[in-house]
Amino acid sequence: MNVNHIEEPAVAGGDTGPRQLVDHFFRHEYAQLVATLTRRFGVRHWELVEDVVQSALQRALSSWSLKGIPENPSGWLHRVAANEAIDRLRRDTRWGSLGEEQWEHESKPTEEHSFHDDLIRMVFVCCDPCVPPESQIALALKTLCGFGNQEIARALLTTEASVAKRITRAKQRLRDESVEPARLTETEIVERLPHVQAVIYLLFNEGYSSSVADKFIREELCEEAVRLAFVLAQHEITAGGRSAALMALLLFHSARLDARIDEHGAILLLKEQDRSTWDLRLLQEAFRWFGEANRSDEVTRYHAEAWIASEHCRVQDFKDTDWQRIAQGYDLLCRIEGSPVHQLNRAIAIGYRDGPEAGMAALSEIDSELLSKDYYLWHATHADLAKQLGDFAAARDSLNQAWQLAPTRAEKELISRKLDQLPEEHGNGG
Amino acid sequence: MAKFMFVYRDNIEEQPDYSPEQIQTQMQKWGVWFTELGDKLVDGGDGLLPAGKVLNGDGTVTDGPFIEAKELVGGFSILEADSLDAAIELARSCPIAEHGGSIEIRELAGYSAEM
Repeated sequence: MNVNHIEEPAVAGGDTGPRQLVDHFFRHEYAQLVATLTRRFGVRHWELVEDVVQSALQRALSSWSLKGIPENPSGWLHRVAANEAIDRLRRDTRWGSLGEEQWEHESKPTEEHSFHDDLIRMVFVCCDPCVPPESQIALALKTLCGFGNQEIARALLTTEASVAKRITRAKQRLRDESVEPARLTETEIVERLPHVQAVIYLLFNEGYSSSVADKFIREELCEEAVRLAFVLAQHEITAGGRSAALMALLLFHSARLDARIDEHGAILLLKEQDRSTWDLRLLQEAFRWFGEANRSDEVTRYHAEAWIASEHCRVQDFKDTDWQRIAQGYDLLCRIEGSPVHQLNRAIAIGYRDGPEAGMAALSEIDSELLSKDYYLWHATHADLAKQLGDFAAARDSLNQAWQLAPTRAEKELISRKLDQLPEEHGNGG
Repeated sequence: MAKFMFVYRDNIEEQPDYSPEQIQTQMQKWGVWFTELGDKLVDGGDGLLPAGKVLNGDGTVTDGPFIEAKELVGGFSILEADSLDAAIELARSCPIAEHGGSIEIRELAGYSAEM
């Protein structure tokens, strides 16, 4: 995984041979151009902006393929797309009636204007709370990551038509609410940061969770989420403890991405993973960001989650895990955001630290019927603890329930594997 | 050795909207093809913009014949090959076929240097 797209040059080679584009250059350039031009021309011209950016990329394809890649490919694309946008807007009568003067005023890039700033504004537009949640990821993938509808459909396991519908609806909402990247104030950006981070985290989990079958798509989603988190962590308005903590958390997870799935697509538990396959470079980056996150006074859920992840990543062997510190991390997380899922994980940590009885007690303390009824991990955890307590019949029951509730094949297989490993009951127990 | 002009004709009827990633993949394929051609590639040439005009013999200017065409000349290159057949062989591995385009191969009329 590459986490430094933004600071990388657009082209490689150069002096030694023909210039070559870096990976995903067009995708990220698409996102950057749409952000810059939408800020300049307004959300009401979003479709036009997408059109001219697409056409600039097509033009690059026909020219660069033959002539070679220009010295400044980003500048080339920007010039071509911006010129076409202006030409088309001038031809548009409604635009003409606005008057050149107003247009000049509206469209003129400001002094402090920067590409980085355009992109971050677009991140906040796409993650605006008025966008329906089911559309946010699709819109983010399209606009902020430059995915095509077909690619989004594959990533989100849905149809192209559904993706197109979600995106159209999202844009309509943004237009209805008159959301404009150029109008966002610094205060609004700071206020909405937690929501934007939640969307980025969701995007990451979409890739990290096993519900996405294709390894490459999974990696790309995670990589894009890291890229957007990086944009937040680098920008002067959004940088700080929160953004650094999210960056650290996503990198800790990313470092373990490959180790999490075996060659047949089966999920490997933390204790089964080959830790030598963890990406050391990403881990180093993660620890660096984690240090950065801890320099601020603010403590967010991402701090707590990064703390827990860092504890797992710190040790070479699962048996050396410091469950005391991990349980502390979950205590912290539950104080900040006591979701039932976090409490469930806390119970697991307590089970490791203080033994299965304490774990079972913590599990039964969780006050959520929904969780114990519908969430397969609750049953899987219950089964693990029951097994450790020697109650194999209860463990089997819980695993069967977990199998019923598990959402994906990979997860069902994992549970089947646990069922197979369960010792036979010898008739002496309940 | 003779020189040939490859005239690339894009199929404009079947061209879908490629995603940015697909565009990059296509461009990489052209890069690979050009690298494989090595010194047989005399001049990569350039792409042509879709818009243009035709100045007719009678002095009138029209929007050109390409309005009704299914194919549009999208670019050209100059290559070197021993014969027309050899040039056709070179063209076979061109990625243009993957997106429904075709190549017109024409020998340049000028004498080559050693003749």
